[in-house]
Amino acid sequence: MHPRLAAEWADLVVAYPGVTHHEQPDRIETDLDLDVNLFTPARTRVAVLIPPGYPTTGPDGFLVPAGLVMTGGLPASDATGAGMAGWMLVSFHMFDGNGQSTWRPTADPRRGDNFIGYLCSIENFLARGCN
Amino acid sequence: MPEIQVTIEGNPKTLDDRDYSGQELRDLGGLGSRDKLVREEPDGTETAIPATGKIRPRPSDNFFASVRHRRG
Repeated sequence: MHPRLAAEWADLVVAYPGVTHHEQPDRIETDLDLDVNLFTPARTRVAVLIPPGYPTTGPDGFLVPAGLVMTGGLPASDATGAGMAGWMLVSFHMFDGNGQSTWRPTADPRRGDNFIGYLCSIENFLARGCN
Repeated sequence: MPEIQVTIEGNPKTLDDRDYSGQELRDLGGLGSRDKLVREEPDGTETAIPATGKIRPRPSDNFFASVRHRRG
């Protein structure tokens, strides 16, 4: 496991009890509940790839299993090229309106941006209908 | 129990000096469970407070719902 992820792991498991770590590609996965008025099904698996330069380099996007449907269309593309056949890569970035990164980690794994915060952002993004 | 003053979503709040769950703080701020509640750190970074997590608020803490992501 990536050493910084290892340092975050105990807190991550408390915040997201079902979180699991996988390799090839290096990633975390967890299940998230969704708004039944927006998504079918109303619960989905979510995967986040761990960039080699983490945490200086933040995660970029997340994946959901192919077949998840969102009213209005999910902004996602096939993730086979990322080594995740059967998944879709959702277009989601920690950027501001000028395209500048808003990812702000610190040396302390419990402060600033980390995987807990990234998963919180994904939950918020999905709850807002991918906005 | 001693009390401390914090700000949640721009509104002053008086809290007991104890651990709070992320959901309790969301409820105090009128936020939903899927809002990304964060604590502003002294260096300007933001630390996410998950709904299921527990934290000990500090005097003058500033909590707010943060949206720093974009689609596209």
